[in-house]
Amino acid sequence: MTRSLLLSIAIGLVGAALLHIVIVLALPGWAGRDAFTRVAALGETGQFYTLANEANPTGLANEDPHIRSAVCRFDLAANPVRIIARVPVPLWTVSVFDTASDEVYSMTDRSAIGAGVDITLVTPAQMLQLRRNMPDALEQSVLVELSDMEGFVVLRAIVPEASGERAARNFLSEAVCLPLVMG
Amino acid sequence: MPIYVLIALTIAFGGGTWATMRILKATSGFGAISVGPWDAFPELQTANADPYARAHRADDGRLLFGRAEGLVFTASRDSDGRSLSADCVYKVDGLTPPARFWTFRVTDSSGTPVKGLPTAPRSLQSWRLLQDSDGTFHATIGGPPHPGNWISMSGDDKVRFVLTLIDTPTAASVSLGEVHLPQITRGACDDA
Repeated sequence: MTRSLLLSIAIGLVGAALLHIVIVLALPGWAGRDAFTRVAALGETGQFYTLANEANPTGLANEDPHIRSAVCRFDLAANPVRIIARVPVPLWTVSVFDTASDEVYSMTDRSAIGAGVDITLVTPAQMLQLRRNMPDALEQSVLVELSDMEGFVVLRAIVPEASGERAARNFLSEAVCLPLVMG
Repeated sequence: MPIYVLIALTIAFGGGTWATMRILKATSGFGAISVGPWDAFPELQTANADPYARAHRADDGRLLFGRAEGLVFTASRDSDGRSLSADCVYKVDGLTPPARFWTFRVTDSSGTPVKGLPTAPRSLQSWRLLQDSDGTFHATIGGPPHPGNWISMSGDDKVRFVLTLIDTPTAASVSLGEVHLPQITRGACDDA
């Protein structure tokens, strides 16, 4: 009697440990609310979505009262994607994530070539093509080679004081994230 | 003996799922760097994150900062190891790591901002901060309005302090033990 009870508890604990390992390893695949899934739920590729300041059903919001952000999902299958944002703000940062929400690239305004954001995301094949015939327009652009076709970009601007809100909003709403058609 | 089978299955599925979910809510994985009461996870958003960090991140679904963008330190205890509570008044004093911009705010344990007195400041930021000539700052968190750097918090739950550093070399230098983060000292508590 006691032996059976102890045995069933022991089997239960071993099962719980196995299930724990399975859940931890499998969760990233089927959580359904990871960052990429949430970004994809916002809408189409090729445009920035400015996030709200308050928590909302999309699950994405500006958590920090002094930071505003916008996200853009991209797909490099057909063409490279160029990200441009030129409205002046005191400080901006940008990062690129793949479909697993792993960071693949990040930078700040300090390491930009010109004023403002100008980044072109390319696949290795598109990079070869660009190397052979670099368009003049891309001279100032930071070329980022990605191994994944899809992913998303997060663009952020700081709002130190309430008076900076308008500049940050303009910076994010005028940011573009469009396919670059190569001639 | 169906009762023993039932016991084993209940422990396996119920216990396994419950314990896993609790662990994933409570931890962001093994990659923490800790300085006093402050923790940061510089690799949480990368492909190098451990399986616990990845599962936590997928379940949480936040937009994390890239390595070049910034680093977030959180504290859920004061410098003496006691849980932070919105009931108490805290003094936060010291230096912050080099960063072009930083913010300090208070959230509950799930990351939602904590309410404060109406119209009172709920966050601090480095570009408008009273500092000593050597760069140290002193802030009062909670309680009635206070001269100097002060932010309001109210409620009676456990809280977290969140220090967000933007454009900082901190993640690279933490291993060298040269990072200074502010002390958190508990003052009067208003436990009813």
